[in-house]
Amino acid sequence: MFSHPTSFDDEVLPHLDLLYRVGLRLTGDPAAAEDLVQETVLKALRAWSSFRPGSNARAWLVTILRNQFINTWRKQKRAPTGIDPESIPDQPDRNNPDPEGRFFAELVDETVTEALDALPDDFREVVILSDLEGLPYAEVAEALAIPVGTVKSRLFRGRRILQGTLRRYAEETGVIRPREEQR
Amino acid sequence: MTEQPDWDCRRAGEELDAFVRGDLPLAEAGRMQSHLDRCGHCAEVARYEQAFRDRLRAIDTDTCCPEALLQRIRDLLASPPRES
Ligand SMILES: [Zn+2]
Repeated sequence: MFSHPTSFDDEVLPHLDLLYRVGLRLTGDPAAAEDLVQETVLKALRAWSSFRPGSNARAWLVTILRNQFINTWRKQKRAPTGIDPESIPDQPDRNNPDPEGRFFAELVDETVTEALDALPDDFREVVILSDLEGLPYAEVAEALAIPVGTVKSRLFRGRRILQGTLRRYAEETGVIRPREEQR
Repeated sequence: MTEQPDWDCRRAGEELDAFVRGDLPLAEAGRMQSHLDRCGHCAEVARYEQAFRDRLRAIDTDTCCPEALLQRIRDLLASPPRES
């Protein structure tokens, strides 16, 4: 009672929606996401005595979910993406005909999730936690057991890759029109 | 150029992501805003990053834990499996 002033239910249940969404993004499959979340809760229950009251339950749960994902799912699927992270430009392309990114809002979910799925894993998980779920850098760092600086640089490069993919798609499908035709 | 911007473009670029996320402390957010007010280039980049982030965040906003899974977890917690 003294060591655990909060209950397992109180700490864990509020995060199930987030865990499910992250699981869904990681596995790309609703049924697999359900299994992943259930296994995560089970693992968390077994590890509950090691949870320090007052520490961050959300990051703790994401760590468990991610480890579970790596151990069971990651080795099955996902071929290498062929993207060379070193080849990513530092700045958005200045020749962009839509420099304020209005085209992003016109892309459908499927397009965005496909591009997200194509990201190398290291970048993908940081973008999912940080951009999609809005976790602060420090919490992403804690969940993934990497330094905050690494979170920032992976996020930066992951975003650049995604932006490039989405922009190419938008140009190919005519969502972005060449400059001459605009106005 | 009569006035000196609080931050130069390099500094603003470094903090842009945190600014777009709403993670910058108030004072720094103010300095960023005053840079963006003066610098069309950074303001444009900020709008681009904001549009991108808004689009990403919109993917799963309505997705929540399915009721069936919630029920399974409640059952699980009501009678937890014995520790091995
Ligand atoms: Zn600037």
